[in-house]
Amino acid sequence: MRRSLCALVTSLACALACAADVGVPAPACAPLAAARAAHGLDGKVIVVDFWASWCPPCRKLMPFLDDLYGSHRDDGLAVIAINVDEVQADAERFLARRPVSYPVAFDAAGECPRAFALAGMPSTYVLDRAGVVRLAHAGYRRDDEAALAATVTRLLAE
Amino acid sequence: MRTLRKPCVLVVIGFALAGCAHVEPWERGALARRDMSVTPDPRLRALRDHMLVSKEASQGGHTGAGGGCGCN
Repeated sequence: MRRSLCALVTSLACALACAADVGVPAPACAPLAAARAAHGLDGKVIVVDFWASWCPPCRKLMPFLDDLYGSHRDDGLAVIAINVDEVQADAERFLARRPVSYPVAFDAAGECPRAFALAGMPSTYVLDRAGVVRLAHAGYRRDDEAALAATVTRLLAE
Repeated sequence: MRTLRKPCVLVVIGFALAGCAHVEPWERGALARRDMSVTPDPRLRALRDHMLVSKEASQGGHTGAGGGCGCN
Protein backbone atom coordinates (compact mmCIF):
# COMPACT_ATOMS: atom_id res chain seq x y z
CA MET A 1 0.00 0.00 0.00
CA ARG A 2 2.74 2.36 1.05
CA ARG A 3 4.77 1.45 -2.02
CA SER A 4 1.82 2.20 -4.32
CA LEU A 5 1.30 5.54 -2.63
CA CYS A 6 4.98 6.42 -3.09
CA ALA A 7 4.82 5.46 -6.77
CA LEU A 8 1.74 7.62 -7.25
CA VAL A 9 3.32 10.62 -5.54
CA THR A 10 6.55 10.17 -7.53
CA SER A 11 4.74 9.98 -10.86
CA LEU A 12 2.63 13.02 -9.96
CA ALA A 13 5.73 14.99 -8.97
CA CYS A 14 7.43 13.96 -12.22
CA ALA A 15 4.40 15.01 -14.27
CA LEU A 16 4.37 18.40 -12.57
CA ALA A 17 8.11 18.85 -12.90
CA CYS A 18 8.09 17.94 -16.59
CA ALA A 19 5.35 20.41 -17.53
CA ALA A 20 6.36 23.68 -19.15
CA ASP A 21 5.46 26.15 -16.44
CA VAL A 22 6.26 29.84 -16.55
CA GLY A 23 9.62 30.57 -14.94
CA VAL A 24 11.21 27.18 -15.57
CA PRO A 25 13.45 26.12 -18.47
CA ALA A 26 11.58 24.64 -21.41
CA PRO A 27 11.38 20.84 -21.25
CA ALA A 28 13.79 18.96 -23.47
CA CYS A 29 12.44 17.04 -26.45
CA ALA A 30 14.20 15.83 -29.58
CA PRO A 31 12.17 17.60 -32.33
CA LEU A 32 12.51 20.97 -30.60
CA ALA A 33 16.20 20.47 -29.88
CA ALA A 34 16.81 19.44 -33.50
CA ALA A 35 15.01 22.51 -34.83
CA ARG A 36 16.93 24.80 -32.47
CA ALA A 37 20.22 23.26 -33.54
CA ALA A 38 19.40 23.22 -37.25
CA HIS A 39 18.42 26.88 -37.35
CA GLY A 40 20.96 28.16 -34.79
CA LEU A 41 18.39 29.59 -32.42
CA ASP A 42 20.38 29.69 -29.18
CA GLY A 43 20.23 33.11 -27.58
CA LYS A 44 17.04 34.08 -29.39
CA VAL A 45 13.56 34.69 -28.09
CA ILE A 46 11.60 31.68 -29.30
CA VAL A 47 7.88 31.24 -29.80
CA VAL A 48 7.03 27.54 -29.75
CA ASP A 49 3.68 26.84 -31.36
CA PHE A 50 2.04 23.42 -31.16
CA TRP A 51 -0.40 22.96 -34.02
CA ALA A 52 -2.19 20.38 -36.14
CA SER A 53 -3.87 20.59 -39.52
CA TRP A 54 -7.14 19.30 -38.00
CA CYS A 55 -7.27 22.11 -35.44
CA PRO A 56 -9.15 25.20 -36.73
CA PRO A 57 -7.85 27.69 -34.11
CA CYS A 58 -4.29 26.49 -34.79
CA ARG A 59 -4.77 27.38 -38.44
CA LYS A 60 -6.11 30.81 -37.49
CA LEU A 61 -3.10 31.53 -35.28
CA MET A 62 -0.51 30.80 -37.96
CA PRO A 63 -0.88 33.96 -40.09
CA PHE A 64 -0.47 36.06 -36.95
CA LEU A 65 2.70 34.19 -35.97
CA ASP A 66 3.98 34.59 -39.50
CA ASP A 67 3.44 38.36 -39.33
CA LEU A 68 5.01 38.53 -35.86
CA TYR A 69 8.02 36.59 -37.11
CA GLY A 70 8.35 38.84 -40.15
CA SER A 71 8.23 41.97 -38.00
CA HIS A 72 10.76 40.87 -35.35
CA ARG A 73 12.95 38.36 -37.11
CA ASP A 74 15.85 40.80 -37.37
CA ASP A 75 15.49 41.74 -33.70
CA GLY A 76 16.22 38.16 -32.57
CA LEU A 77 12.82 36.45 -32.67
CA ALA A 78 12.44 32.87 -33.80
CA VAL A 79 9.26 30.87 -34.20
CA ILE A 80 9.23 27.08 -34.20
CA ALA A 81 5.99 25.37 -35.09
CA ILE A 82 5.75 21.82 -33.83
CA ASN A 83 3.22 19.86 -35.81
CA VAL A 84 1.52 16.99 -34.00
CA ASP A 85 -0.45 15.45 -36.88
CA GLU A 86 -0.34 11.68 -36.69
CA VAL A 87 -0.02 11.61 -40.48
CA GLN A 88 2.74 14.00 -41.51
CA ALA A 89 1.43 14.16 -45.09
CA ASP A 90 -1.71 15.93 -43.79
CA ALA A 91 0.43 18.72 -42.38
CA GLU A 92 2.59 18.93 -45.48
CA ARG A 93 -0.51 19.18 -47.67
CA PHE A 94 -1.81 22.02 -45.48
CA LEU A 95 1.56 23.82 -45.55
CA ALA A 96 1.67 23.53 -49.34
CA ARG A 97 -1.60 25.46 -49.49
CA ARG A 98 -0.80 27.92 -46.71
CA PRO A 99 2.97 28.16 -46.30
CA VAL A 100 4.67 29.86 -43.37
CA SER A 101 8.08 31.47 -43.29
CA TYR A 102 9.17 30.03 -39.92
CA PRO A 103 10.56 26.50 -39.40
CA VAL A 104 8.16 23.63 -38.81
CA ALA A 105 9.16 20.50 -36.91
CA PHE A 106 7.13 17.31 -37.09
CA ASP A 107 6.41 15.30 -33.98
CA ALA A 108 3.91 12.58 -34.84
CA ALA A 109 5.03 10.55 -31.83
CA GLY A 110 3.96 13.35 -29.50
CA GLU A 111 7.26 13.61 -27.62
CA CYS A 112 7.23 17.40 -27.30
CA PRO A 113 3.54 17.85 -26.43
CA ARG A 114 3.97 15.17 -23.76
CA ALA A 115 7.05 16.89 -22.36
CA PHE A 116 5.31 20.27 -22.33
CA ALA A 117 2.11 18.65 -20.94
CA LEU A 118 -0.14 20.56 -23.32
CA ALA A 119 -3.49 21.60 -21.90
CA GLY A 120 -5.10 22.27 -25.28
CA MET A 121 -4.61 22.99 -28.95
CA PRO A 122 -3.07 25.22 -30.06
CA SER A 123 -0.55 25.81 -27.29
CA THR A 124 1.92 28.64 -27.49
CA TYR A 125 5.03 29.12 -25.38
CA VAL A 126 7.39 32.07 -25.41
CA LEU A 127 10.94 31.30 -24.29
CA ASP A 128 13.37 34.05 -23.37
CA ARG A 129 16.96 34.17 -24.61
CA ALA A 130 18.01 31.79 -21.82
CA GLY A 131 15.38 29.21 -22.82
CA VAL A 132 13.12 29.87 -19.83
CA VAL A 133 9.36 29.73 -20.41
CA ARG A 134 7.98 33.25 -19.95
CA LEU A 135 4.51 32.77 -21.39
CA ALA A 136 2.41 29.63 -21.68
CA HIS A 137 -0.94 29.88 -23.38
CA ALA A 138 -3.46 27.27 -24.49
CA GLY A 139 -6.09 27.95 -27.13
CA TYR A 140 -6.44 30.89 -29.45
CA ARG A 141 -8.74 33.87 -29.71
CA ARG A 142 -8.02 37.04 -31.59
CA ASP A 143 -7.75 38.90 -28.26
CA ASP A 144 -4.73 36.74 -27.35
CA GLU A 145 -2.60 38.33 -30.03
CA ALA A 146 -1.94 41.55 -28.12
CA ALA A 147 -0.59 39.74 -25.05
CA LEU A 148 1.59 37.49 -27.17
CA ALA A 149 3.02 40.41 -29.15
CA ALA A 150 3.61 42.43 -25.97
CA THR A 151 5.49 39.54 -24.33
CA VAL A 152 7.67 39.07 -27.41
CA THR A 153 8.45 42.79 -27.60
CA ARG A 154 9.32 42.91 -23.90
CA LEU A 155 11.59 39.87 -24.09
CA LEU A 156 13.36 41.15 -27.17
CA ALA A 157 14.15 44.36 -25.27
CA GLU A 158 15.62 42.50 -22.26
CA MET B 1 -21.54 -20.64 -8.84
CA ARG B 2 -19.99 -18.76 -6.02
CA THR B 3 -16.48 -19.53 -7.27
CA LEU B 4 -17.33 -17.92 -10.61
CA ARG B 5 -18.50 -14.67 -9.11
CA LYS B 6 -15.06 -13.19 -8.45
CA PRO B 7 -13.62 -13.86 -11.95
CA CYS B 8 -16.81 -12.52 -13.53
CA VAL B 9 -16.58 -9.31 -11.52
CA LEU B 10 -12.94 -8.95 -12.52
CA VAL B 11 -13.77 -9.49 -16.21
CA VAL B 12 -16.55 -6.88 -16.06
CA ILE B 13 -14.22 -4.39 -14.35
CA GLY B 14 -11.57 -5.13 -16.97
CA PHE B 15 -13.96 -4.41 -19.81
CA ALA B 16 -15.19 -1.24 -18.08
CA LEU B 17 -11.64 0.04 -17.62
CA ALA B 18 -10.75 -0.76 -21.22
CA GLY B 19 -13.64 1.43 -22.33
CA CYS B 20 -12.19 4.49 -20.59
CA ALA B 21 -9.32 6.16 -22.37
CA HIS B 22 -7.94 9.61 -21.82
CA VAL B 23 -7.30 11.26 -25.17
CA GLU B 24 -4.67 13.96 -24.95
CA PRO B 25 -5.30 17.28 -26.74
CA TRP B 26 -2.73 16.50 -29.42
CA GLU B 27 -4.23 13.06 -30.13
CA ARG B 28 -7.63 14.23 -31.29
CA GLY B 29 -7.02 14.25 -35.02
CA ALA B 30 -9.31 11.28 -35.62
CA LEU B 31 -12.01 12.76 -33.39
CA ALA B 32 -11.85 15.99 -35.37
CA ARG B 33 -12.81 14.26 -38.58
CA ARG B 34 -16.19 15.27 -39.94
CA ASP B 35 -17.41 11.69 -40.12
CA MET B 36 -16.82 11.35 -36.37
CA SER B 37 -19.50 13.92 -35.67
CA VAL B 38 -22.87 12.75 -34.38
CA THR B 39 -24.46 14.90 -37.09
CA PRO B 40 -21.94 14.89 -39.92
CA ASP B 41 -24.15 16.85 -42.31
CA PRO B 42 -24.84 20.36 -40.98
CA ARG B 43 -27.37 21.20 -43.73
CA LEU B 44 -29.42 18.07 -43.08
CA ARG B 45 -29.34 18.82 -39.37
CA ALA B 46 -30.51 22.39 -39.97
CA LEU B 47 -33.40 21.13 -42.11
CA ARG B 48 -34.44 18.59 -39.48
CA ASP B 49 -34.18 21.21 -36.75
CA HIS B 50 -36.37 23.54 -38.80
CA MET B 51 -39.03 20.85 -39.22
CA LEU B 52 -38.89 19.95 -35.57
CA VAL B 53 -39.30 23.57 -34.50
CA SER B 54 -42.19 24.07 -36.93
CA LYS B 55 -44.07 20.95 -35.89
CA GLU B 56 -43.31 20.73 -32.23
CA ALA B 57 -43.01 24.44 -31.43
CA SER B 58 -39.95 23.59 -29.46
CA GLN B 59 -36.30 24.30 -29.87
CA GLY B 60 -33.02 23.11 -28.47
CA GLY B 61 -31.96 20.01 -26.65
CA HIS B 62 -31.57 17.96 -29.80
CA THR B 63 -27.89 17.77 -30.12
CA GLY B 64 -25.36 15.38 -28.77
CA ALA B 65 -21.76 15.35 -27.72
CA GLY B 66 -19.21 13.57 -29.86
CA GLY B 67 -16.47 14.27 -32.31
CA GLY B 68 -14.67 17.56 -32.63
CA CYS B 69 -11.08 18.40 -31.88
CA GLY B 70 -11.83 19.87 -28.46
CA CYS B 71 -9.69 22.86 -29.35
CA ASN B 72 -9.80 26.11 -27.41
